[in-house]
Amino acid sequence: MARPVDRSPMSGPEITHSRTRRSTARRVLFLAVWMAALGLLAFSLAGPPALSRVEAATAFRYPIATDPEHLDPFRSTTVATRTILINVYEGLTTFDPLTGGIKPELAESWDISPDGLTYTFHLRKGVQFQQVPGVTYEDPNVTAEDWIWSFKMFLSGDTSVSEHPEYLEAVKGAKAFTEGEAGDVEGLRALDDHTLQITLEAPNHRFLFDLVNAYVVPREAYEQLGSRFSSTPVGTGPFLFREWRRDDHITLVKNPNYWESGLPKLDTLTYVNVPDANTQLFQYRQDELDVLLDLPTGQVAALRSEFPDQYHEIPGLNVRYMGFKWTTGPFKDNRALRLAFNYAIDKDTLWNVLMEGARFPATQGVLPPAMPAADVDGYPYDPEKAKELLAEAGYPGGKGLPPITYYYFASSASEPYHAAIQSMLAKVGIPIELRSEDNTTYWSHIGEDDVHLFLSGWSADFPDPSEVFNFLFYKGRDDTKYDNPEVDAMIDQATAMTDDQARNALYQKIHEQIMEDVPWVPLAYSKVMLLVKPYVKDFHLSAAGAYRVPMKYVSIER
Amino acid sequence: MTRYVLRRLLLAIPTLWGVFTIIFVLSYLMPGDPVRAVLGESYRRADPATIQRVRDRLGLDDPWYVQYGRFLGRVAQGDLGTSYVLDQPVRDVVGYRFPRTVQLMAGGMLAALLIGIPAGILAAERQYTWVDHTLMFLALVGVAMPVFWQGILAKMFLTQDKYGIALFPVAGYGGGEFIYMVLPSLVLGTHLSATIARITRSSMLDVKPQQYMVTAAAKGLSRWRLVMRHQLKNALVPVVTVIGLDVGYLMGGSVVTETVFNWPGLGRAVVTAIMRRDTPVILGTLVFGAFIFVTVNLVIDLTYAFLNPRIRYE
Repeated sequence: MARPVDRSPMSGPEITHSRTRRSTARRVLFLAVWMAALGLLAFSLAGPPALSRVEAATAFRYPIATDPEHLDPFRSTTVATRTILINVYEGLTTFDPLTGGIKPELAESWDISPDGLTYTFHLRKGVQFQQVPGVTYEDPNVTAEDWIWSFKMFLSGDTSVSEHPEYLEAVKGAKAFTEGEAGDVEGLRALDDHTLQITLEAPNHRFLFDLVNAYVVPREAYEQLGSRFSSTPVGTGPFLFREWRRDDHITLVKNPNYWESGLPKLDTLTYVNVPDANTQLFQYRQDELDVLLDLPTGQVAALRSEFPDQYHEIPGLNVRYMGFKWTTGPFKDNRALRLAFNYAIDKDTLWNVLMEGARFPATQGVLPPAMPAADVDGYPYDPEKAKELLAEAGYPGGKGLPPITYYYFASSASEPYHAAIQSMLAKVGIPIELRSEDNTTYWSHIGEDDVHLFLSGWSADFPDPSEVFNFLFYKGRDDTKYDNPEVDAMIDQATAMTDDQARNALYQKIHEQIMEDVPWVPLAYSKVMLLVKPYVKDFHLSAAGAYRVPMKYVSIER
Repeated sequence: MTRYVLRRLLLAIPTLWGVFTIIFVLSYLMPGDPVRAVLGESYRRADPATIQRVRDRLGLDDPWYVQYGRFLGRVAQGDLGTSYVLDQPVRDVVGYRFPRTVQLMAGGMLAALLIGIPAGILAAERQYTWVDHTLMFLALVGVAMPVFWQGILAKMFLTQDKYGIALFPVAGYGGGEFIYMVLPSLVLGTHLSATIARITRSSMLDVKPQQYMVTAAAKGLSRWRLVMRHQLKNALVPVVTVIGLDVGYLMGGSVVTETVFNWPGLGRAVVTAIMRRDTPVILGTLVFGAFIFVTVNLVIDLTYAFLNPRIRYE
């Protein structure tokens, strides 16, 4: 094509070399081929399209903010792992999504001995482990021996196998087995294929709740899948694990052999990893997601009016609080100062005005209102009383008060109430400094002695006061290090009580004592807020959080 | 040439060792307890005995020199270790995500070249006209706008029926389909395309008054041939330099782009690992990144010799 004149050696920069023009062309060609090959390599390594368009059209698309760490039922469970696992694995008991109480799952029924020590579980017949590629069973039916094997795995003291001995620590001989002092767990017995007897060390009303997370796992899958076991869940649940593209999506499909006939109703359930709440909202608006679980801060009111028929809320089981260090610093042994903080903060303004109703202001005590024994007197907003208490604490008008730093975690930093708390306290004469720290640093730091005032929160798994008391007000376990031997003794006593009414009366007493001691400023109780598309049916909200919604009942009717 | 390559390869060893040591020291000094991340929400429910057993298994109570020796020994064997949290070898973490990051970077680079070079040529050809001024103004905006902000704007106006036209999916990898690549590539490439446009423009203008250009014009070449074959080719050497330098920028920018567009790449994995104090993943991916960076720089240096034969490595 080129005209002869163009080929003259004068045409390029390589004026003096006659060979160079040709080799320059070769070099450019070489570079182009090299880059194309690199691009192709990247595409081919990245794999084929994982989710075809047809599949996407019939799938329920559920957003998850965090990709699960793994899908191993014996290892640590975060909300991210549990969201997936509870659809594949099942326990003897489960939560009733409507009441938050306990109902049978793979145990059809159970008897409890009068002393509260022996539980006899009658196992559901016809429950089979899931049929998946790579796992062959001698007998896929679930028997009492399968439960015993699974429970011993949970109790394994080897943390590369299990990090969850606490689910079953109430069982007789569990501790000795976990610590390697016994080869067997004394309290676990198979009476026959479908009867499992469990003996406890001491009566424990939490035991049926703890069993919710102790799943039955097929030994064959654990042995045959080897290193793939932790990313390939196989249980008895309504959904089969299909695939996991890390940081992208997880697909579950209907288990055709599920024991409860007619369930699940969905064919495909896709968990889409969307870390950012605004992106989630964009995807929800474009029908790329069927529910919206993270309402972006500052947009709650706008979304309620944009989607009036799709917005749902119920009271949750999380409590948010400011903790006072009990063992050191200015709050130690100064009840009046702790009380002054409580009366100085206007919770109604924080949550209903600044946060657009994203949480309920904590007008009662330390328990979320959905729990028994939650109804105690809170500390109302009363700045005058706060000033009096500050004087009584030895700091009239804030004079002589040592500098106080209020710590809060980075993921709460987008919530605008910290500065408001600062100015409310300043108004009664208490200057505080604000300091935010990234989440991992924060949670390790606030237990230390140099932190005297911090923001914290706690999510109960089920509506029982023990979910808060046993972890936050028992033997200094909370980062406040609050410890009242009288309260410890009452908590021990309550845990062992099998009579609900008597136990809840004792919980009321414990609650009142804690409020008397003032280890916290209770700030707010959570709301479970979400948007659900109108064509989604039977999406039963759970107070424990959206992740607890039993997906087997959910259907799509367009 | 061979000797030069060998010397560069040998020099890379102390460089990498220095980088590895810095990475180790930083991650060792980072506040926060990895056990907290390993146990997740179970941490506050776990009894102290379980927490101690996890610490022992991970070797977190070993002195720093034991941990440092273990780390260097593993790296020397090409073993990147196993994640504390993900229950997965770091090799797999990198192996799965790196191709996706390369894919995104290639897309960003392609977008940058497709936008930047034509814009630069056009601006040079229409120097001091409104075309030139508009293009250079846009280039300035492109350089100044942060990636995450561009990402939000792109999502708002190109994926939403409510605010604009829904041309593209909001986010995600979509199994690698082309349509999912467009927005992240554009956003990642914008900054670089602006730089390329400016460099191409000034370099084109440098070449324009050269004697060989005058000669070529005197021979009666068409405008197109003159610009494309004689002017552009000679103007490209500084552009290649900029591209080489900006590979590092693309890697950094891909971290933000991956987060904004839910792209399952290496950058997001590193950020998550840092949040979780997942030391093996932090160390492993950074070691891998350092290795790639050193290699890319070597390749770029060698590429100069291909593009410009006057440069010789002896």
